[in-house]
Amino acid sequence: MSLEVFFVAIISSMLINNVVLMRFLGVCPFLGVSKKTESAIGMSAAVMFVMVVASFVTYLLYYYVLEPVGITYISTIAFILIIASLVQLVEMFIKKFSKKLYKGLGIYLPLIVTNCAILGVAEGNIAQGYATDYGVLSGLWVATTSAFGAALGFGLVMFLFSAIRERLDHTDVPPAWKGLPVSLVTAGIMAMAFLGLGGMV
Amino acid sequence: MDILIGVLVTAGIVCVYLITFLLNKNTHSPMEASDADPEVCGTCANYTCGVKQQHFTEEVRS
Repeated sequence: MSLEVFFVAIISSMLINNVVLMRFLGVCPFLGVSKKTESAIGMSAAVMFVMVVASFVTYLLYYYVLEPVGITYISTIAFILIIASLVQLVEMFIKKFSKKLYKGLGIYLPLIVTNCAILGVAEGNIAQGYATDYGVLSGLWVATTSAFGAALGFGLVMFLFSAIRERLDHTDVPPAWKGLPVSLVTAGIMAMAFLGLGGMV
Repeated sequence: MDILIGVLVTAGIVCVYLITFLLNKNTHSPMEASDADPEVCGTCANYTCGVKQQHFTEEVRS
């Protein structure tokens, strides 16, 4: 398997099929934790870790446990539990090592469990059929790379959006547009900008 | 048989979740992470502020 496959997987999931702006998953933290760049970067890092590790573990669980035994019907429940376990670990780590970030993320930190972007990427890796195309073991690396690309894409749009929102805070926005309205319009314009990357790969 | 294996797999994953939950619960939150006292805090009326959010009021045209 050539490096091209991994490169295409990263670029495709990061820019072309961006998890937030193209697939509209994970919009809750995108709008909720993007007021400050520092919090946005912290949230992105937490989501990136959970997304990549969850994709890796769920892929292994699906193809080495659930499918051979014939119990793929519990895949969604199993995936959610694995994501919840990872979030507990991340919360514990942040609580211990970054007090400021723990305060900044607030309720959004445990709510990573309900971030549909993570479950969407994990389920998407199974639905994409990487195991059929590349074999189960090679497919694992492609799926994990794709998840890493999706996580990078999430981090990229979070950072860009938080930077724009911080600048908007210091600009003379008409009163009726202040706050969420102008943020939603900004997100729409960002989505249109990302639409322009379609067909690149 | 399939149902039994399904139950066992689910129970195993639930156990993993419970262990991580208990580990997290036993990790105490830092003192600095507690909410700042709004009476003492002297931040500006910025809508990005997480301490004095109530200070930011959007003007609504009537």
